Amino acid sequence: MTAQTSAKRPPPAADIRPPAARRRARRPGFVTAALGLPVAFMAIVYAYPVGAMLLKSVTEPTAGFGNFTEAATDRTMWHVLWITVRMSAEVAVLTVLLGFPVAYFLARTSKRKARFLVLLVVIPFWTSILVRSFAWIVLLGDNGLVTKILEPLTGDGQGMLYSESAVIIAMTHILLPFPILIIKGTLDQIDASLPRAARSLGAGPVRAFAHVYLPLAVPAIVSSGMLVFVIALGFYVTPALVGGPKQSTIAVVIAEAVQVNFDWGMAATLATLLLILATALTMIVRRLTKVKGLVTL
Amino acid sequence: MTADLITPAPARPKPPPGRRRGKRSPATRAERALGWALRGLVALILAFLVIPILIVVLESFNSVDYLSFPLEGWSLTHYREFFADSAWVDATLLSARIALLAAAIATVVGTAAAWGLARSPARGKGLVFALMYSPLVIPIIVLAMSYYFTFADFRVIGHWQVIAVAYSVMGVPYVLVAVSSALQQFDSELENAARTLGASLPKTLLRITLPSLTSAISAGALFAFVIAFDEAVIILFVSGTGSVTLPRKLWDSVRYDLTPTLAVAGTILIAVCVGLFLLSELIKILRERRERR
Amino acid sequence: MSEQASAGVGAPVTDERPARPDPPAAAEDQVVFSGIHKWYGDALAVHDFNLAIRKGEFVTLLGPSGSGKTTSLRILAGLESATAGEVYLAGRAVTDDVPEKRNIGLVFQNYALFPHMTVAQNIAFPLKMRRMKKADAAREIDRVLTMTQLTEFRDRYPRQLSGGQQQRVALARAFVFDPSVLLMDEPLGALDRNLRDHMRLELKALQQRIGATVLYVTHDQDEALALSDRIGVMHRGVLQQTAPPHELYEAPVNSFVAKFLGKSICLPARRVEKGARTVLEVSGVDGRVLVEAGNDCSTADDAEFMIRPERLRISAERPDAADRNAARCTVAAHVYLGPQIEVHLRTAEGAELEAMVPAELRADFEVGSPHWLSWGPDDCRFLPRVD
Repeated sequence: MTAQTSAKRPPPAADIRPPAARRRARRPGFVTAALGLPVAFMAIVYAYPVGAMLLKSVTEPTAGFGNFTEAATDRTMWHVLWITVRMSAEVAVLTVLLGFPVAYFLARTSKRKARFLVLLVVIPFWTSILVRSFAWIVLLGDNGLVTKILEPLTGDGQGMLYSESAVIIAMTHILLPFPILIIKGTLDQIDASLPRAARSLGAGPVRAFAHVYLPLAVPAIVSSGMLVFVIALGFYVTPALVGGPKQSTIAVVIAEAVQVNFDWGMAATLATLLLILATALTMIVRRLTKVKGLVTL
Repeated sequence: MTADLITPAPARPKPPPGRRRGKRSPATRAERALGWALRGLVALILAFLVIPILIVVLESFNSVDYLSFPLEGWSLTHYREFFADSAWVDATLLSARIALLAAAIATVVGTAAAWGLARSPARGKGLVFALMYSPLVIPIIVLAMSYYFTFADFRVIGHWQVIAVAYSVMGVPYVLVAVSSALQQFDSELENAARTLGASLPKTLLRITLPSLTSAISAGALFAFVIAFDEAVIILFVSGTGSVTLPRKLWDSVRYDLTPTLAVAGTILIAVCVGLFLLSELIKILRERRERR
Repeated sequence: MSEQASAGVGAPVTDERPARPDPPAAAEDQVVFSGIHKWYGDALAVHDFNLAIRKGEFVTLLGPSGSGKTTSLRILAGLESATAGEVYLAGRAVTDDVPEKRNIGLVFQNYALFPHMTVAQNIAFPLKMRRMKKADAAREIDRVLTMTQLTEFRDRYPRQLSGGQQQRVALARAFVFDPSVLLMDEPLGALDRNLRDHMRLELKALQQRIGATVLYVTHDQDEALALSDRIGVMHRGVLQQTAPPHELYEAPVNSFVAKFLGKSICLPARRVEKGARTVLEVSGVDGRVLVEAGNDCSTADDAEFMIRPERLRISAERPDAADRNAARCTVAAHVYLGPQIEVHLRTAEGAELEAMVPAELRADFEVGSPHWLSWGPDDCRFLPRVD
C-alpha cells in the first residue's frame, strides 16, 4: 500500500452533501431550559397581561371596533393627542438642544473630570420621576424658588405650576439625561484627531465643528430626540402632578378612563393606540440610525 | 453599573488615552471665549439637572411645617415625624420588600436568558431578545393598564408578591443587557475547559461561569431593585388598600398637602437609589484598582 | 461516493497499520478515530479522518489554519460532535459521551485558566470534580507543581503569571488527573519564540516522564518535528499522510506534504516511461530525469517532480555517472545562512530552484557563473499534485 491512495485532493464540496439528518440529534437540555423558562415566565407574566389588555380594546364593553370609532370621532381625544404630541415634541427639541453642549463638553474634557461630571447627569437619572416632579412642584409653586427669582419679571408672586410651561420644564429636566448620555456615547467614539485634522487642513474651529463633528453626531442627536419624544408620549406622573386639566396627555386620559369613568374598553383602546404609536416610532428610529441597544452596561 | 448607562451599542474600542491632552494647537482669543461660553452653558445646564434634587433634600431639613426656600431653619423634626408615622415606615418597608423580591426574580430570569441566548444557535434568538427587552421601551402607562386589568381579572389587586412579580418584568431587560455584555467578554472556552476537566454543565455554570459574571449580575440586580423601589405608575392602579408603597404614599400625599415630610420621603427615595448607584460605582472603581495591581 | 471511498484519502498511508472501521483490535491503541466526518452546514471541515494512536505515543496533527486539525481534536475531546464516524478511547466508543465523561486532558490554545482561582485551585479543579479525597488531592497537586516547577506560584492568580508559567499551569491541570490521553491545541502558540523553544524541550521531557499519550495540534513544523513520534499532515479537512518525522520529510506522499514540511523544489513533470526506474520530462529541465520506482508515488502521468535542496549537487563539469540526472544552470544569487549557503540557480530552460551547499564553498558561486546541477534517481520523487 503506498502513497497513491492518499494523494487525492479533498473532494469539492459540490460532490458530497452533508448527511440529511445528523446521526445524533443535539441533546436538548440545559440551554433549552435556560432559554425556555425565562421565555415562559415572560409569556405568562408579561406577554399575557399586555395581550389581554390589547384584546379588551375590542371586547369591552361589547365586541367590535366601537371604542376605536368612538375615540376617533371624539374631538377632545384629538385635542389630547395634539397636546401630547406637541408637548412631547417641545420636550424632545429642548432636551436635545440642552443635551448636546453638555455631551460635547463631556466627550472632550479629561477622563477624570468627565467621570465626575457624568455623575451629575446619572444621579438625576436614577432619582425617581415622582420625586423629581415633586421637586418642580416645590420650585414652581407660589412660594417656590423659581417663582421668587422671577417675581421682579412677572410682577406677581404667582407660580407657574399647573401650566404647560411647568410640564415642559419638569419633563425636560427628567428626560435630559437621555440625550446627554446617548450623544456622549457617540462623540466618545469620534476620534478627537478628526476635527484637529480638519483644522490642520485650514478649516476654522467653527467650520471644523460644523463639518466634521456635527455630521458624525447627527444620528445620535436624531435618535435621542426621537427616544425622548416616544418616552414623553407615554408620560403620566409629571403631567398629572405638575400640569393642570388643560395639560391632559394621553396617559392622563387613560388613567381617568379607568379611575373616574370606569371605562376599561376606552382605556384599553387608548393604551393600544399609544403602544402602536410608540412601537412604530421606535422601529423607525432603529431603522434610521441603527442604534441597537439603548441600554448597554 | 456604569456612568455610560446609555450608549449606542456596540461600543468600539476607545482611542488611545491621552489624545485629548495631547498637543493642542494654539487657541485664538475667539476660541478661548467660545470655550468659556461653552463651560458656562454646561455649568448652567448641569445646575438645572442637579438643583431640583438638592432642593428636595434641603427641604427635608426645614424647621417649619411648610415648604419654603430659603429654609427657615435647620432641623430633623420631619425625619422624626416620618419615622414615628407607621404609615410612612410601613410604606418604606413594603417598597423594600417588593423591590427585593422583584430584583431576585428579574436576576434569575435575566441571567438565565442571557446565558441561554449566548449559547444557543442563532435561530429565533432575535425574537426572544425582543420579548425580554421590550419592557424597557413599552410606555409605562400601557404596562400599568395591562397589569391593572389582569390583576383585577384574577382578583389579586393589592397582593404585594404579585406586584413584585409584575415589577420583576421591568427589571429583566436591565439584567439581560448587563449579563449579555459580560458574557461577550467571557471566554466560553473556560466552560469547555471545565467540561474536559470533568465538570458537568450545571457544575461548570456554578463554579466557572457565574463567578465571572458576579459584577454584571449584581449591577443588573441593582437596576432591577431601583426600578421596583421607585415605580410610581403601575402601583397607582394595582396597590389597592393593602399595598401602599413609598412612591404610592408620596403620590397620595403630594396631591393633598405639601409638607417637608414629603421631602423626607423623597429624600429617602433618592438616598436609596442614588446610594445604591454610588455604591456600585465605588465597588467598580475599587475592583479596577485591585485588578490593575 | 465510490470515488472518495476508493481514494481512502485519510488513511495513515505510510503507517503499517491501516485505519480500521471497527473497534480497535490492538490493545495498545489508546485513541482511534474511525471515519470521522464533520460538516458545518454545507461546509466540510473534516473528511474521513482515520487515525490510531498507541499508548504513550506522541502524535502531532500538523497543517495550516483551517485544515481541520483543531476540529478533529475537539471531536475527540467531545467539544464538537462528529457528523459521522466513531471515536474510541482505550477501546471504548466515546462518540456520544459528554466531555466530562471522557477523561481527557486538554491544553487550550489560550490556556483557559480559571481567572478567579489560584494556580493550586486550578490544578485541584479536575480532582475535585472526581471527588478525590482532600489529602490525596493535596499530594497530587504538590507532585505536579513540583514537576512543572510551579510550587512557589501555587497561590498566585493566573493574571499574575507570565505566559510560560500560565502554559505550565494549563499543562499541570490537564494531566494531574491521569487522563487517558493528553490533547494540546497549539499550546505554545501564544509564547514568544525563545520561550517556545524552551517550553518545547520541557514538554517533551515531561511527556516522557509521565508516559502520556499525546495528540498535539500545531501549524509549526519545527515543533512537530521536535516533539512527535508521528506526524499527521492535514490539509483541507483531509489527513494527507501520517508518518514518523524523518519518513515524512524523506518520503512525502504528495506535493502538499513536501512543500509544507521543509524546503522542497517542485516542478511540473510528465511520466514517459515506467519500469525499474521511472522516466520523467520535467518542465525547465533539459533531457530526461530518472526516478527510482519506489519514489514514484503518482497514479497519474501528469504530476510533480520533487527534490530537497540539500540533495542537489553543484559541479563545474557534467558528472560522469551515467544514471545521474544533470542539468546545466547559472547562478542567479546566493544567500548566506551561516553554516550553509542557499544558491539560487536558473536552468538553461528557465526553471528557478535553489540548492543548499556548505558555506565554505561560497567562493565557487559567483553570480552569473555556469554550473552543472546533478542528483541521483533516489534523491528525487514523483508526487501527485495537491495544492
